[in-house]
Amino acid sequence: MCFGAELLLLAASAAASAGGKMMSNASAEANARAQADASNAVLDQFLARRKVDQEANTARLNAHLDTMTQPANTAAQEAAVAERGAAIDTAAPASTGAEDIPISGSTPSIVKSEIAKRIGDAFNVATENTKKAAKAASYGDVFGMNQRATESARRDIGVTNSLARDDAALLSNRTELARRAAYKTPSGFGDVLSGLGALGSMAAGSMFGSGKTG
Amino acid sequence: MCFSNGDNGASAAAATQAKLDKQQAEKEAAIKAGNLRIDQAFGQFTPEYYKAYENDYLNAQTPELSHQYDKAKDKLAAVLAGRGVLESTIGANKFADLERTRASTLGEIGNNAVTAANDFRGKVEGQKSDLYNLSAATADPDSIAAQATGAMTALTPPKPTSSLGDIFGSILQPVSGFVRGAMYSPNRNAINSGFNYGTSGRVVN
Repeated sequence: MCFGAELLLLAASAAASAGGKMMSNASAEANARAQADASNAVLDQFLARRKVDQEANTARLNAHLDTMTQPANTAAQEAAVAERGAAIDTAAPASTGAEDIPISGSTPSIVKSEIAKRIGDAFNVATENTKKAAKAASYGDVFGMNQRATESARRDIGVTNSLARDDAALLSNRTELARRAAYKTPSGFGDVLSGLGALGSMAAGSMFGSGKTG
Repeated sequence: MCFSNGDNGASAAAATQAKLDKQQAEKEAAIKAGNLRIDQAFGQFTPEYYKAYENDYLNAQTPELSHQYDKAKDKLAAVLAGRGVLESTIGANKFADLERTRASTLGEIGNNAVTAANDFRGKVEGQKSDLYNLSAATADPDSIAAQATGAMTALTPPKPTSSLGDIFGSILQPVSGFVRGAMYSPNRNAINSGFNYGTSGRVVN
């Protein structure tokens, strides 16, 4: 039988080509999968960090908003009124009275006491009025206090967001680097095998009908 | 037999990745360290600090008012005594007006002191935010510390200077006007105060 060896070589070559091709494909597919996994892992880690940031920012905002509830504002306003009242009492602790007014010693005591009373009343009315003004101003104090607290919260959240922006700016680089780092150079055995198969099939073809087999 | 011809840059990519991570971690640490330095620098702005500022404000404003009040009181007493109405209802009312103006102005100064301290609090917060932004931009804690110190120096509140103006002039003006009018009155030799106690209300020139 003269076809036995050629057919055998042809079959072996075809098997080698197919096997080699399959090995190459499997290797490329494994590489692509590893690179995609590495890239996805970087993305997952990025998203996890952002989730932590988001939760921290939400907690910071909520903590700030808790200080702005109506009861908190009412308490803050009472404190502001007390602070202003104390400042007014410090500035104007008491009436000057009538002692310093050079009235003669013969002035009836009823006149002296009437002058002192009017001066005392004037002092009381004036300080009462300034304390009313203080109460009106306390609304602004609470607003200012909330503004400052908002500024503080904005600052804290801003720090987190600034770092997050830096992180986000590097995301594409990170994924690309992870993809490259995950790359495994193929062994090349599949390609070699495939090449050998091709050579074998050509050799089998050249042997066909040459009479060398038999 | 090995057909591999190297890692095609995978190890270099891994090294770059590690370097990137390290740099970013260092930057984050630097920013947080800078922010900490800012917090430490601004730690002096306590409630006690603002209270002291309030007191300084009061102390800067009240002496001028006391001075003006003393002068106005003496002038009023002299004018009223000159017209013989020092111990009269009109005299008592004028001294009450004077006291009311004094107490109102002092109360206003007290209110202004708190407002000034609160305004200053706002400026401090704003300055701190600016420094935080700078910290994020530079990520250099030493530079930030120097900036914070400079900013605090700029923030030191100027001592309030007294700008009260003439507080008691409006009270004295009608009395002075009355005296001036009386001097040119055709009946200047027979002016009665209307609040006479015996003969003391009569003006004798």
